[in-house]
Amino acid sequence: MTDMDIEKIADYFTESLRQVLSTMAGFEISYIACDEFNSSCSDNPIIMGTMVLHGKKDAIISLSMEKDTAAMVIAYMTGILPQELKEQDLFDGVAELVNIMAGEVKARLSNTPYHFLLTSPFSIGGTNFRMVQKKNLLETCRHLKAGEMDITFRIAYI
Amino acid sequence: MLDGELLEASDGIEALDLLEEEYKRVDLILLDWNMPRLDGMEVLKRLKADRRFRSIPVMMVTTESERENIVRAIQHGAVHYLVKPFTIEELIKRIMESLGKGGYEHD
Repeated sequence: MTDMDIEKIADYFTESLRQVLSTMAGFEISYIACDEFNSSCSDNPIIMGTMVLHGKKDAIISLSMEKDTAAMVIAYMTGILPQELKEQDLFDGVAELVNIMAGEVKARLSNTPYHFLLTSPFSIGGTNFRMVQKKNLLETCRHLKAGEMDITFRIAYI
Repeated sequence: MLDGELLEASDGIEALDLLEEEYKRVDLILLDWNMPRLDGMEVLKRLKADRRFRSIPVMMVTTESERENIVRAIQHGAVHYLVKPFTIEELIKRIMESLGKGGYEHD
């Protein structure tokens, strides 16, 4: 796998997320490449949805956003008012977003050397947490923006 | 307008346990594929192998969009296969079709 391959795969994921948010929530997002892989600390609560992808080479993907952003996204997706969403709904919703993205990309990569199997997505959350991994992993990330909302997607081959 | 009661299960085993108790009042099963403990395809096979459950229509609602998976699910008795992402309108339309009803009015 080359840097170019992982960038292309990251684009598949972000394109998938763009479609999901457009179809299910009516949001239009734009995205830009980002340099910083390790997630930065934040004073605001963050929810991060994650999934391990099993392939010839395993990968881990994550999608992180502030809790308020998650509430807005999930509210538009479900038609439930943000204030009526429970915390568990937000964690489930962000994990489901990861699941939908991964399912879409799985189909796109099905006849390539990067084909993978899905695993169960899960979410973690809190403030001031940082995800750090070994140096020299093949990894990349994207910042996605929809209005005031910021979402970060990361992928690393492990 | 869609009216009804929703029974939820978080994985395949829980879904089968729930059906043991509630199957007489279940009109439609929405079944995900990628679930912990027991995946949706295995649940579908078990549903269709059990004469108490086999007449309940099953609609797969999943991210698994590869053609071979869609074919497998239909071959094993799913009446519909809805790939995520979808709009609420699409979901309601498919639910109505699966229940054998025509159109619907969305309020």
